Amino acid sequence: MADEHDHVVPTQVYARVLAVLMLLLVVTVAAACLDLDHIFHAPYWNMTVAVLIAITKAVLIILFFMHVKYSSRIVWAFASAAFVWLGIMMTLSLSDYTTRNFPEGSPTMPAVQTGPEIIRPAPRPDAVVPGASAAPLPHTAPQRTPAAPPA
Amino acid sequence: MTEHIATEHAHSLVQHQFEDAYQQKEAATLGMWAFLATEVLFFGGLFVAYTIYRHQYPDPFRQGALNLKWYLGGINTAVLLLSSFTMAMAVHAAAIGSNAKIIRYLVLTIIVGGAFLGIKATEYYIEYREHLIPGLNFAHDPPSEEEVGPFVGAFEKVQGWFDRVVPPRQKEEKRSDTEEMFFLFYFIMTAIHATHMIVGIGIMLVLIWMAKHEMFSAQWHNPVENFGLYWHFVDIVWVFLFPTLYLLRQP
Repeated sequence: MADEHDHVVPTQVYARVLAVLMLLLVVTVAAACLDLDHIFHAPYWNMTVAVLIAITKAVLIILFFMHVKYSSRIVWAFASAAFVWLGIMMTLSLSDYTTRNFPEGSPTMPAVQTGPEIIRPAPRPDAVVPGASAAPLPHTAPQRTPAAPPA
Repeated sequence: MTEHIATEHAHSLVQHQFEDAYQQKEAATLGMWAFLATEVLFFGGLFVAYTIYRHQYPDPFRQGALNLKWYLGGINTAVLLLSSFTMAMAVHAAAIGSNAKIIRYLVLTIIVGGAFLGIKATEYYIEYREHLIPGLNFAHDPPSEEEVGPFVGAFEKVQGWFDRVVPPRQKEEKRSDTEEMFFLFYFIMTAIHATHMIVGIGIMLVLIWMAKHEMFSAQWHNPVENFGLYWHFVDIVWVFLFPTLYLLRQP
């Protein structure tokens, strides 16, 4: 019973997979030394290439080292489920965070977002201003909203 | 001769709730994959958080990554892939029912895995001397050459050879708070990964003990097979950690 299901993978397969994995490691380091974003005139090229190589390596390890290629359908289902749910977590989280805070007039994603906007309240019209000057002090000046006209 | 004994032995190891050895093995494999699914999502959460922050602060994260000795990370990747290979060979030895070979390949895996941990510890020491550990000694001013000492200085020098391709970080440049956050991610992710490896080495010692007592056979070697899955999974995590942490070199 056991013999017809057990598939003993020949060791040459492992050796070849190891050779390909090492080759991909060299490729990923080489790709990181090149400014691919500049070469292809588009953002995220370096990141995409690095992630694609990593996924290729992971798939090789899962299929051959982890024997999923030779396993039953239900093992395929369990193994895929893990990564499908990871994909859902990634996609939904990033679809939110990558589409926030577009600065005015920028053609692409924001380069650097320093933090949440601080909106200071306008000083109360009846506030007692030391020095009795008409203009509000610099540190109480509203940053984002126009000052309310004095009553 | 061994065939017959092994079959008898295997038969006694099929627990009463299973029809046969194949069903028992299938159940064990599925259970292991269910556990690995939780591990995928556990590390996945860290990767999602990292990606969000890197998207928000691309430049400070790149500056942080330039402090790492990426060639050590690259050597470690090769070392870990090699340990995955020796682990696959141990599982192969189990499939053909040779306890002696299982022991040989597991010992090899422990040695290669230990080499990974040794290089990782060296990296942590370098980062400690360079004042890069958040909450312990993170400094906004990079330490001088005398402060880091000759040992760390040697690694800096090697990094300099590699950095000819890509402009390195300016030594005297101040480190930002966001760079500290990069190191928070770096230390938490690599430390959790290293913890998995230490646990793995502990389990391997148990497996070696079991193999010494001739417990595995061609019919029954589920612990070796499932531990192999765990070890390869840890390898996969590093395959993603290496480019995400070490290779952010382009402006």
